[in-house]
Amino acid sequence: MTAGAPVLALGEVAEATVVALAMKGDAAAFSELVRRRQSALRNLLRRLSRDAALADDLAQQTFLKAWRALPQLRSVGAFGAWLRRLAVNTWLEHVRAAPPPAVALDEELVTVPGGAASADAQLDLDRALAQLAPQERLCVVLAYSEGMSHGEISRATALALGTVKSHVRRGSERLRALLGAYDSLQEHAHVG
Amino acid sequence: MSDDLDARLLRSFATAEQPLAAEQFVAQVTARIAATRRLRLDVRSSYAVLGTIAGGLGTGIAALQRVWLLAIGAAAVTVWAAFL
Repeated sequence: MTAGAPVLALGEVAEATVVALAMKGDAAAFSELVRRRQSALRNLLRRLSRDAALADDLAQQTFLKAWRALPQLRSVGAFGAWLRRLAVNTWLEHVRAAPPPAVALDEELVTVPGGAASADAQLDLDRALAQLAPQERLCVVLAYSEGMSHGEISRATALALGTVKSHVRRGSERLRALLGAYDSLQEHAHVG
Repeated sequence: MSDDLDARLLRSFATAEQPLAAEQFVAQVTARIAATRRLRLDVRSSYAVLGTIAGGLGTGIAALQRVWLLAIGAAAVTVWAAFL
């Protein structure tokens, strides 16, 4: 009797192999991909939508689309970028269907439990991002949170390269100003 | 990443990133995929049932058409025989 080859759990297998298995319809392999990618995808959609429940629903829709379209993926190495593009498209479809209402900065600040002083860095960033227009927010989040270049953002969002550069530049300026304003308000709250 | 990005904003984004628990989310996605698969199976089964019914009806109608042809043929023979 010969010793059997060691069996690797899916969690220990390289992603390319897991993607290849999922492309052939292996549901367990796809669940493993969901497990590996869910946190990054949900965080991205939370930054974009500023609503945890909505972001999770959009993330689930993204994974459902991925499951259906996975056999058409050209290369296993492209899975990450492909999935992110699916998430961005899912969010854009949602925005087109139901544009989110703009929230005023002051109105937002008074609704935070415990006042501005208790707001942490994440809350500040989320509130500041909420002040940006959807496309501006999309470009800023993809650049800063996902580390994508302007060219990559242009390809992923189908926006012109010049538009992407402009959105990132103006969005960054606005975000800097807003975060500075939050810092000042928090300092005032501490002093008061 | 070759584009110039603001260092403070990069730090803010990095600080705000938090790992999210997987179990419940993975279970929800798996359940939605299973539901979609069931729905597709149901749709396929419905198509199969409808196909079978349509096939039966077609066969029946074809058979009836042949009976009509037989009846017409018999009537024609009767008339032809009466005038003979």
